[in-house]
Amino acid sequence: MKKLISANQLTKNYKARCVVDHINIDIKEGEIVAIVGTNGAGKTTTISMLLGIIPQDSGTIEYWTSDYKKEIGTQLQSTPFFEGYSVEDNVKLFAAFYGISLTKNEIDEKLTAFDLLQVKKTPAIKLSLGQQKRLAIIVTTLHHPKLVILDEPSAGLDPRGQRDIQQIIKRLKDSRVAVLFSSHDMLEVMNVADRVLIMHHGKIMANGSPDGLMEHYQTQNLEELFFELTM
Amino acid sequence: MKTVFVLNLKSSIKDMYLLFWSILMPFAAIIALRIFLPSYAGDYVEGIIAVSVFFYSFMTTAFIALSQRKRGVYNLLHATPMPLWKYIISISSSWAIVAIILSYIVLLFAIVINQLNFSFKILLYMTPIILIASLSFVFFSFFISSLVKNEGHLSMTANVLMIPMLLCSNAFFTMEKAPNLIQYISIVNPFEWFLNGIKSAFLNNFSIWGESLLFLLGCLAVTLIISLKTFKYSDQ
Repeated sequence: MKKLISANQLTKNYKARCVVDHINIDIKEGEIVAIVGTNGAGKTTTISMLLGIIPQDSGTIEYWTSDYKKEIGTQLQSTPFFEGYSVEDNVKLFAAFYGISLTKNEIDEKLTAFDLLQVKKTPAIKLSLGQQKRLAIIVTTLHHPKLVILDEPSAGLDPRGQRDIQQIIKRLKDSRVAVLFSSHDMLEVMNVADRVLIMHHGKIMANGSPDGLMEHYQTQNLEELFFELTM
Repeated sequence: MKTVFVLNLKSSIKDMYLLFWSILMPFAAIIALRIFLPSYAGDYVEGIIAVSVFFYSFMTTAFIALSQRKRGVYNLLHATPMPLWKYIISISSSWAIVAIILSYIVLLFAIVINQLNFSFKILLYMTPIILIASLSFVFFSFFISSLVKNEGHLSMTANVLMIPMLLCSNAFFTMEKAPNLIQYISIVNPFEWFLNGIKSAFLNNFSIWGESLLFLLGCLAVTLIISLKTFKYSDQ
């Protein structure tokens, strides 16, 4: 499979603290990669560097295309939307950021697919967390990206919301879209990820398929492995 | 760019800050002057329009820019292929259009209340001055919002910059009797040139109008560069 992103020896320091410490990450076409780690492990910083939002202090990131921002969809941890804009207007605005123009019908179709049509005139910042997460994923996939990066997409959601997000990730995989997502939920990772990266104190402690890692470390489940590696 | 411009224009028109700062306050000033200083009321119309546009373009937009940054949307913008200059120019242009509409509303209100003579020539010459000046103030407001961390800090910083600009101008007091230092400051004060531009549109003084427009165009270029160079996507 073709590599979409290849990051080598990626490092980031905030003042004297090293938050990402010489890590290597590859993401291949069509695969689902999960980054798991404790709070402050460096997951969001790693994602931000891969997205080009913050520069790395050292190391390199190679993308499969020179104009990678056109080909990557992004959902940030805080699911931010423009204040004063309705759901519909946020969708139009982000489409414009990716250089595409959507008709009213196309917007309605997308909102219907994510069960948001009834709130299309509501200010996006007034949506419930689950609705905001779903809207964030619409925005993330508006431009048919080859890679989608989701920072804690199911954090704070109830079980139904979490299941919806897992189904969305699986649907993306079915459409040959690669997904990199961060999570604290080992069951979610086990359910959807082809590969998992366990981060601790800015370092990658393990990298492999969930089954392969459990076999290698002789653990019963991912949670046990996570505790073992992040003690 | 067109979509960003149109959506921001739509959102700006619904903004409550806009209503309070930029319409009700000038209306109150026009009415108060008409009641308490009826013989001078007409002389302050240009100053009231200039202050209204200045407050809207500077203060309101700085608060909006800070609020959007604090929400994290600029981080998301950063992850998209939209170039920063296109984003800033699109939304600033929509704010400048709102500033022009505001100035027309305030002017119309002043004409009705003070029974002033009106000619379309005033609008023709006033409009480019307001467009260029409000764009400069909006660009500068991005810079101010990038300096601060919260609304309280922004309010103080904006006041520290805006009040001297207002006081070192002919908006409310004549500069002729001001100390030399204040007069020198007024020469390089963009707000004073903005005011001169509006006054010259009312007085049909095209040489001062042209000078003001040139000075404001220079400010526009400088403030655009500053806003692009200092734009802050996030607080981290």
